[in-house]
Amino acid sequence: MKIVLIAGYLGSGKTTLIIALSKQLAGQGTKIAILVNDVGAIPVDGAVMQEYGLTVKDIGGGCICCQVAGNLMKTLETLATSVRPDIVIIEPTGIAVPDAIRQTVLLSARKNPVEMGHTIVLFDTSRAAKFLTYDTLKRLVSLQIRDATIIGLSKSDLVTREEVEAATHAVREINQGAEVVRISTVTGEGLSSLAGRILSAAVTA
Amino acid sequence: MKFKVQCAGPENPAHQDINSHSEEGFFLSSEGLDPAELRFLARDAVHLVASGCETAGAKDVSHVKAFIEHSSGFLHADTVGGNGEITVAGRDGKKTKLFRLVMNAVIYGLSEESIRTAAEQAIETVRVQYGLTRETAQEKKS
Repeated sequence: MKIVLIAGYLGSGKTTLIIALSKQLAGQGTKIAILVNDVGAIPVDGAVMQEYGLTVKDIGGGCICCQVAGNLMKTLETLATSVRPDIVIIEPTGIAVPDAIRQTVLLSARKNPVEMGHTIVLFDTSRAAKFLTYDTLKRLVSLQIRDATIIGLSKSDLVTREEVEAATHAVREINQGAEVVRISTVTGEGLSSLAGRILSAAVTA
Repeated sequence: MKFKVQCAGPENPAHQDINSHSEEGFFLSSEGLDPAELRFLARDAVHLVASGCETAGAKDVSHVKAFIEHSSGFLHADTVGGNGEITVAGRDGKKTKLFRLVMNAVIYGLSEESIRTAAEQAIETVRVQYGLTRETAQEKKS
């Protein structure tokens, strides 16, 4: 059971991307399950995904990067024994720090058939300037980007080529090791290549 | 309903400036709302919460979402970044008399109380505008 983390700040397009990717991967015969951790007290993202026919488990009660990490471990164990998907896509809250979640997954791998796949962090190119303006917001977004193995420049259809280049430069300054891909769920840009990377070999932390 | 983000592990430096508020309610329309009206309602609710938070001084309207669930379909609407663009999607159903509405607002640089005020005012405005009566989730369950 491969775990793929799709993180990124609030409104960066995680839910929309996961719906699109899951349909594409399922169409290739891959069994997908999705774990959603919504920041709101009343979760809605999981309900939306279920309406699109996806297998979803909601984790509520706090952020899985810190408050409810134990719930994540328990849910992974349940999925591994009962649902047995090929791939579990985790959508954390938009304020989660990916590395903390990755550590929980690696801990879970000690007793469950779990391997860590890519950590995809979305960076909303249409809001790049705002993210880099406010100190605390910049720190959080930087922490998220730092932990990525793939950085997805989302909403690339909404900005100019120059803005995409500026965003690429900004994320490269934070994380030189990650692949950077342009993604648009509107035009479909980057989706197939991202699906291919998800299916590829496991990533060592 | 408030959700204060708290970190048990190493403190995340940005959590302190991010707050959220969730509202849930069941709404009744005596005449019923057709699918187009319901889409406008979702859009209006998201717009009013976002603009209310901006007026109250939010630094970033990080994500405002509405989820509407009824017997023959569902809708979700959202806006990010305070750019005024609202996306509405879902599956339209028949004319709807009863539906569940969930609003989630996650805002950077605004207090929980201010987000709650903006959300409550927005929902009340929409309720009056569309001629609805409201039951809380607890009343509905009982």
